[in-house]
Amino acid sequence: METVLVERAFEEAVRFEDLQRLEHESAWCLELHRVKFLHTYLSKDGKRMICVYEAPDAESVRLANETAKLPFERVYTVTRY
Amino acid sequence: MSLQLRFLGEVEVARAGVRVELPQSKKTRALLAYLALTGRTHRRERLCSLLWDIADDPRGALRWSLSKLRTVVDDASTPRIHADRHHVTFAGEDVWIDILHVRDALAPGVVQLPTETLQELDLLFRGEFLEDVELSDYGDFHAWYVAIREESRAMRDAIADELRQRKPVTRIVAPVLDVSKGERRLIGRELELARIEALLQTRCAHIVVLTGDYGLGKSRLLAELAARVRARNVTVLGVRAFEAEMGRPYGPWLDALRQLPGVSLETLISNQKSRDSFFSTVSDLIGARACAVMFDDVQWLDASSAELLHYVARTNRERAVLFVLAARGGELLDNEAALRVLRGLRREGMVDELELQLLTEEETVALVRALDPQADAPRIFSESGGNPLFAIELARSRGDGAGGISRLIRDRVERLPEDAAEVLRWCAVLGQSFTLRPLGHAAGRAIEPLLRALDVLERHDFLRAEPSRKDGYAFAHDVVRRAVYQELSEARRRLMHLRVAGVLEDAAEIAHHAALGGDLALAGRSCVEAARRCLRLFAGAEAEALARRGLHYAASLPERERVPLLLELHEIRFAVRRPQQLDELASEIETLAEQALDLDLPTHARLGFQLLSYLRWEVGGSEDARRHMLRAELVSRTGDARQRIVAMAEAARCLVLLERDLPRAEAMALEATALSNRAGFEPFAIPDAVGMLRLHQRKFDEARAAFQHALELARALRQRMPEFTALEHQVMTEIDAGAFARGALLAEQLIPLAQRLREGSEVPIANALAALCRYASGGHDELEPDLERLRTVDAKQRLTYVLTRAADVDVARGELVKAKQRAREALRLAEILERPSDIARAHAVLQKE
Repeated sequence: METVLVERAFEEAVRFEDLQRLEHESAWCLELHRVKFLHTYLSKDGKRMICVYEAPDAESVRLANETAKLPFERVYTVTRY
Repeated sequence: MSLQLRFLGEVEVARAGVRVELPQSKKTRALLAYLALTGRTHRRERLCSLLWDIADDPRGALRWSLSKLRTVVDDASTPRIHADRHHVTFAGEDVWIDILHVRDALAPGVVQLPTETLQELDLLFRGEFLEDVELSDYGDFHAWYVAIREESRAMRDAIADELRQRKPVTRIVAPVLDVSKGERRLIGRELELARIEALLQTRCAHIVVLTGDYGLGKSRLLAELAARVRARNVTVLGVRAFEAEMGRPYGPWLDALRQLPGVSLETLISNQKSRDSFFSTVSDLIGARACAVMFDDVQWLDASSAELLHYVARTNRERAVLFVLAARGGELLDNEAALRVLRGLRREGMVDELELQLLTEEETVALVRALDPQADAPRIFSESGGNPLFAIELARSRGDGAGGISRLIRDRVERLPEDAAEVLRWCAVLGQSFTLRPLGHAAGRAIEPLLRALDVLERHDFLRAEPSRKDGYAFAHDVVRRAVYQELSEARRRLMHLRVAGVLEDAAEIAHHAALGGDLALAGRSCVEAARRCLRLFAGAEAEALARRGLHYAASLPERERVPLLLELHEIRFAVRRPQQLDELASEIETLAEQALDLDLPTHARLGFQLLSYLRWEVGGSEDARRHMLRAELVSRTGDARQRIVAMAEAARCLVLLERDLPRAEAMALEATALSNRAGFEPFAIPDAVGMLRLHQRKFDEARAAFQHALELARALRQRMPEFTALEHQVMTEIDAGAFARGALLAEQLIPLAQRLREGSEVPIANALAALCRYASGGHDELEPDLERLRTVDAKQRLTYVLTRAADVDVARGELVKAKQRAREALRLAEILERPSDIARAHAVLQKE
């Protein structure tokens, strides 16, 4: 399994709970893609966010986020040192 | 006329005034009546479905019945049954038939006929129409039978009323002979008993098949035998099969096992994982002791019990186990399951056959004198012909035998106290055997008066306590029940059956009574419930028979009840066996699923589409990942119609994209399509999912059409990402179809589209696909830079796709080393992604030498 980062940016400040609800509704999709949500960093102004997932590949995370209608800027696999 | 057929009463056939012996199979006699009275040409299939279940090999059974009937009705010079491959006709122009004769005679009107004619006609009514043929579980036949029976009753009543008006008569009722309860000595049958007892001396298993016509004393003989065997310290398990319980799998066996000390039936059943383990547990229980298992009325044994009997007998060959099976020989021929088992056991040399004969004059006289020393025993012998049941009834009634045994029994009922007679009628509606609780509820009696009535009925030998069941009672003889039951008017019967259906718990029994009471919706639903129970007990044949019966009931229900019921019944039939005539069935189920949608029955619509998808993918495909479906369904149930369509389509697309559970993906795509046709709104995911499903099936033209449609939808909606996906899938279709030139053209269109999308794996995959098409069309291998980019953006699925296809091209070009290198990488990725098709492709390349 890979560690995958998703960068998100919003024009207006968002609340973590709203995004979490969207993600929750699409839990079946994430599960099908075997994408597991790990944790999230949200900037103080609420306009930038980084989510960390565990998944077979970055593409799975992209597809799952698209299906869930979760907006994102970039998705990439990372290595932790 | 040389041939005479009599159906008013028990079926009789006479040639030149001499009675001919009839086939004893009830269905064969029913067939004769149906052919003779309808007088039409019938299709063979129609006759098969009229009287036989699928599991019985109906065509074979029909052939057999026709061959038996030919010996009865055909003359050397006049064949009357004409049958070819497809049709059967009974040519009866020169045949005299009682009911038709009465019908013709009454045509001018009953008042026009002279009294002598009316008296002659009255004598033709020997009993109810087809008195010995009751096949209430065969709906079409039963409906026909009831119609004719009602007509015959109306004719009989009209004649009787007219005669009464012309010449009033007072009926003389003979004084009642009170037969007190208590064991009567068995008369005769010493030879049979000695033969069976001798078998107990050998230390191995024996199966005794005891056959004889009704009333010859099979049950009495079994009771005597049980007492003698018990005296030898052998465990006796005595049970009966019941006609109304042929849909209750293992019924007699469960009754038998209940008699074993220390056996908890509930634990026994709930511990079983499979049919095999259930069978071997029962077999061990029986084989663990010296044991005699006695089955009465085996002609009504259910298919599962018959199979279990075969198993237990074979596995206990070397043990001291005795099976005694008593059956009405003729009716046994109607039970294909029991026959099959007996044939098997006969081949293994395990069966001893005993056919009970009529009593001799000496024996009959002894029997009659034991009941009533004053009776005219020689006359009774000549009237009864040595049939002990008939002789006993004659002795009791002190009357004559005109009108047959049924009339004697009815006369006895008339002499009962009214309350007991009424309870007896409820018993007759409940069936050959019943328990106290439903009887009390149905008859509306408190326990005390009920027990008093039962006591009277037992004392007069109408009923007996049934020791194998708690609070169980059974009719002393099936003939008794039939005589009582047939006296009830049709309207009364229906009401009584409905009441009974309302107080029972067993679904199969409820189905039986609800159908006879005319509540077909309840009957159908109960069939579903009973069939599901059968499936849990691994009794496929019974489940299928119940489902078929349910389909019959459902056919005449209003749409709202019919559609969901039919879908559930089809589901049960799928569970039993792979359906035949897939196309026909698929279109029927598709219609039903659409109707369910129209009726706003989403659960049943979903079931329909699911069944349809199984048909499409053929039965037996992968069935994993049910849990995924549940999540998807959860989603699809929320929101408004549009959201539901989108959610379902996306779920379908997701499943197929990931190669998880394709049949379910198909089901969801079908349902989403149907819903979207109604809503006039089509999301991109539907054609895209359908296209991918067809691509998996390698139906390239259908896949192309679906992706083209998806592309048009995406363009109309100006959605870039879906547009890219549809085009990408078109390229993949061409590659998989081997049309690389066309693939290359499309891939060139894909590149500019990818560049307008946000950062991701779209640009590298577009370039990689274009490079792959060029390579496959004979160009250079320029794939590596794009593959590397796919690795960098970590798009394993797209990477795997290109690697496996590139490896195929490598093989075609003879570059095995490179091919295997790519296949190894693809295999590793496909295993991470759990994609069976890519794993298989990679392995195929790695196998190459």
